[in-house]
Order: sequence, then C-alpha cells, then structure tokens
Amino acid sequence: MPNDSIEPRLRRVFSQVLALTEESVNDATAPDNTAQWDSLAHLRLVMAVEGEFGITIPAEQIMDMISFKIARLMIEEQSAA
Amino acid sequence: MPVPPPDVAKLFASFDGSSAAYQSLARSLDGATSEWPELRVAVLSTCTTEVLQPFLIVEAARRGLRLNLWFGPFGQIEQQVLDAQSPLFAFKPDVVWIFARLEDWAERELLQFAAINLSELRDAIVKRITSITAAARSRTNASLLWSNFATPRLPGVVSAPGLSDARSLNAFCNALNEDMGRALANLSGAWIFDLAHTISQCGASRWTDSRMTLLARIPFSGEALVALSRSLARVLRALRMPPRKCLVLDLDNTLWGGVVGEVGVAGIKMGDSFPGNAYLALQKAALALRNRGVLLAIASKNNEAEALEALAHPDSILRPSDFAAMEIHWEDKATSLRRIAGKLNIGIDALAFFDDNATEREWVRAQMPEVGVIEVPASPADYAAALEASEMFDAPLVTADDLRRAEMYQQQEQRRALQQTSGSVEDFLMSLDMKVQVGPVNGDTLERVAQLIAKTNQFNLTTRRHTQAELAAMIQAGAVALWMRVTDRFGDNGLTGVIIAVPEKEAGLWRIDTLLLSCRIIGRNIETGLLGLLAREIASRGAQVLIGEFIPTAKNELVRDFYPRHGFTAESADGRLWRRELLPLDSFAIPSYLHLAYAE
Repeated sequence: MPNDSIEPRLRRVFSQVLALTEESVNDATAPDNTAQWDSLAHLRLVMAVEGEFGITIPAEQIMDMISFKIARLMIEEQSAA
Repeated sequence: MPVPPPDVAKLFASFDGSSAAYQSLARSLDGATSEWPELRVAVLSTCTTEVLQPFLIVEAARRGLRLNLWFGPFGQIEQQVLDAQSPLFAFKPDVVWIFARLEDWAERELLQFAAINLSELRDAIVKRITSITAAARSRTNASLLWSNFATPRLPGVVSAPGLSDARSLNAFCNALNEDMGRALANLSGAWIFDLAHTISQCGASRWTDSRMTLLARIPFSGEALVALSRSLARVLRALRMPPRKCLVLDLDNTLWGGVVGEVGVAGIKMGDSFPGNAYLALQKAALALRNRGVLLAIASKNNEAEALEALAHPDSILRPSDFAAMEIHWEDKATSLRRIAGKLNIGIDALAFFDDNATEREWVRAQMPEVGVIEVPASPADYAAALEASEMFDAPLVTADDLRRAEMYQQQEQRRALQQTSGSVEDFLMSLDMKVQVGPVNGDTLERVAQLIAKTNQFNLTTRRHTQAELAAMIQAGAVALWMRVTDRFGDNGLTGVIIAVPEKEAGLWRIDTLLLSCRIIGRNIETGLLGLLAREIASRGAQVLIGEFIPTAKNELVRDFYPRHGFTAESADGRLWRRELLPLDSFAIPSYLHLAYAE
C-alpha cells in the first residue's frame, strides 16, 4: 500500500469517528486537543482504523495510538511488513 | 423493511458499511429522523456495551425506528431495577434490553464445571432472572427483553471439546435457555432475544476479540457489533411495528423458471433438480408463511388459464386454493396490488411484493411507496433467503387466529356471495346469524387483545398502541376493557373487537380510551352492540356521562362520524371529543340481529 494513499483514507476515518471535518484532521490531532476523543472513541477509532486498512493492532499497542501521526506510522509499518 | 423517506434513503445510499461510516451515519440520522417518534431503549449489562450505540442507531433507522439509547453502568443490573429512583426508571424506557453473560454471572462456578451440581446452578440463575424481571415489572411497563445465554468460551473447562454429553458446557447452556424461556413465558411483556442464535449465525470464533475483552470489557469484535445490532434492531422492529399481512407473488421466473406463455406448462422449470428446486424453495417459504397466517396473492402478467394450469402442475407446491386473491391479466401491477388490498380489505401498506422483474418492482415502488417491495437477487438460488431476509413478516407471536386466517378469508368470500343474493342490508345481517360474545380482558385474552391493538388501523378511533403490560396496568387501575368475538353461520371470525373505557377524575365521567374492530367484520353494526354493552357495564359501576374520543390518522377516516352517529354531541370544536349522557340505558340500542352474550 503506497504511503501517500494512507493519509487521506485515515483522515476520512478520523473525521467520521470523531465528528471532525477532514481538513481539520492533521498529524497533531490527539486526545489532548480533541474533546470527543475519549476512551470509548479511542476504541471506536482503533476498530475503524483496523477495518479500513485490514490490519490488526497488537493489544500492547492499542493504547499507544494517541495521535493521528502515530496511527499513520502504525499503519505504514504494518503495510510495509 | 419499511421504505425510508427520501432524505434518509439518500444517507443510506452513500453508506459503505464500514465501522467509521456507522459512526458518522448515526450522527447524520439524528437530524434526518428527528420527526420520527422515538423508541427509548435502556441497556443493562454485565459488560461494556456503549460501543454498540452508533451501530444500533443505524440498524434501527434502516428499519424505520428512531432509537434513544441509555446505557446503564456495567454490572449493575440489580442496582438499577431495585431502586425506583434509579437513572434507569428516570429514563422512562419503552424497552429494557438485559444482557448478562455467564462469564460474568457464574465464572467461579463454571471454572469448576465438572464438580458442581448443574441443576442447582441453573435454578440459581433462573431465579436471578425472574427476580430482576419482577422487580423491573413492578416499576415500569417497558418491554423487558432478555438476551439468552451463549456458550462461554472458557479454555480448560471442557474435558473433551467437541464431545457432547450431559456435562458439556453447550448442553448446560441449552438447558439453561430452556428453563429461562419457561420462566419468562408467564411474565407479561417479557421477551427473549436469541443472542445464542445470533452468535452461531456469525460464528462464535469471530464474535469476540480478546483484545477488546481484556482492554475494555467489550465482548464483541467489529463484525459482532454489526451482527448484533442488526439482529437486535430486527427484534425491536418486530416488537414495535406490525408485520405485512399479505405476500403478493409474481409467477413467471418467480414461482417457476421460464415464461409459461412461451414454453407451455411442460417447459417451465419446477421440480427436484436445479433450477426448478430453487423456485420450489421459494414456494415452500411462501407456504410456510401462509401456514402461520400470512395471506398469499398473485399479481402476474399472464393468460389466466395457462397460469392456473401451471399451478395445478403436480410438482407445484403452492395450489390455486392457497391464494386469497389472484390478479392474472395484462393490466399494470400497481392496479393489481390495489385490487388485492381492496379485495382482502387490508391497507396498501400491509402488502409485500416479490417479483423477479426489476422494472415491475421499480414501477410499484414509484406508484405505491407504501408497499414493501422485496429486493430480489439475480439467481433463483437466493430467492427463498431473500424472502426471509426482507424481515417483512416478522411478528413476535403467532396466535390461534393467525393460524386460521387463510381459512377465515375463504369464509369471507362466501359471506360476500350471500350478500349479493340477499335483499336489504338488515335482511343480510339477519341471515348471518351472528353470535357476539363479549368478555373482560384478562390473562387469557391479553396477548391477542394487545396484538389487535398493535395492528388495527382503519376501524380504530384513537389508534393508541397499548402494550400488554400497559393494558394490564390500565385494568389494574380501574379501566373496563372488553374483547369481542363474532361467530356467524360461516364460521368463527375470532377475537375481532376491543373497547376500553377509563374512569375520569370527575365522578361519574368515563372516557372511551380505545375502540377498534378488525376490518373483516366492519359493516355489520357490531360496534353499536359493543358500545351498548360497554354502556351497561360501566353504568353498573356508577358512570353517568361517557366521553368519546376520535384521533384522526391517515387510515381511520372510516370512523370519523362514529360518535355523532351514535348520539354523541360535540364536546370540542375540533371533532376530537364527544359527549353523551348514559341514561336512560335503553337509548343504547342493540341491533336485533346481534345475539349478544357476556362471558365472565
């Protein structure tokens, strides 16, 4: 999966789950600056990301996906593997 | 499924079914369905279930329901139902869905599964269920929907996985579910959601995601969230909305393969081998529907003689006599469907339509959006499954009257034939030799009365959809509720009328909360007799003035003048409230051709 196609798809997932406009999602989007990103939204985000990209994030890493940028890097890493 | 209004249909058209799309569609639906009446569903569970929220909203909206969901804190089922002041009751739910997992209720016992007394454990769990149900029932009229138990996945517990004996975990769960069903059958307004079946349909190994269970007590995979929401929404719809009453079928390439007008009866495909057996699978499914009270009809562009000959073919499972109405000619199908509804005296919205031809389906959809048009797959191999998946005939109960419905419609035909040979209407009604039995609604009749209340649209003065539990509460509070059944020389029409009067605060003043008759006995002035009997019943309880209420809907124009015709005078300028003195009681005449009997 080419990395340049990951970002727009991931942005769409984030915007759908967190009720944000796609334009407002960027690498810095994180629980600290996004009120809707609570613990329940976090799990929804994980499931939605996994569904969209057909990947499985290991249990140990699920709670580490705490920004758009980290999510993007996790997907890139799994896609490269 | 009901046809959603255009703006909602548009939202679904761009929905891709992904987990993220469920989240955003649920939010969009909130605005798009704001005009729909809401169904308030409270969830009590032993694990975390909030994650279901957007999935349930979407799957319910797809079926015409707008859900307002409240999730109780996990593991607090008793705390919520035992406290009359709890957030659960403050929410005023219409439905309480209770989801307890065996892993959460009996893990300690199950870990020593081989050693414990299984029937004691079952009894303890069933007792817990019945006491929760009783506690909830004493504080709410909501439907109480229990999930049944799926076999827990507890590694190490089963001595020989795959071997089923009396001490298998599976056998234990099956027995527990049976006990639970028996215990809940006696409790009014309690239902069981077959979660075990839903899980087996999806696949138990795909149902859970150990990461989600361990990190967040969420016992569902992403796939399970969708499957569970679909299944639960389907049940909620069956509990709250009336089923379609009639399945209208096309013939060529629907009930058999090929066009009988072109290939002749000998050339059509209908029999033991493919594809003939695929068409017969659909015929079997239709026959099963007929046998549980759904009416069958035909709308086919064909030569009638040839079509009937094909149905008489020895391989055909459905016979001409299985159909309550047949429209076989070259006129358009919307016309046929209207005639079928007219002949069976049911609403257009009680029809479901199954036709392999996409153009016909589109035509009917455009002409009559109320008709339930079933999406028919390209291959006949998938027809029978598509009929089942349409959810058009889901109904929570099959009553004795449902089982006899097809037969009753045949008797109706005979009555109509008699009407054509009699002189005056009075003569006709006299010749029917009607025996009208009326009695108080009680445990034996509550279920059937609630069903009639749920589905009667035309002869219904107020269209109040009381549930069983609400009815029981009204009667408890002093309402007089009467059912009515009519027998005539052609047979028993079953329980076909309900009248409910409630005492108002002002002494001597009573109000008719509900008055309805099934459409198959309209036009016989039975309502006049029913009103007369009610008047006598409440007069004996001190009633002096009767208030009638008419709430107009799109369907009940028929009864707009019911109260003025029965000597009531307008109490409000909008035609909604009507008033009549009860005395003298003789002024409530009972037509001479009704032989009325009051059953205690």
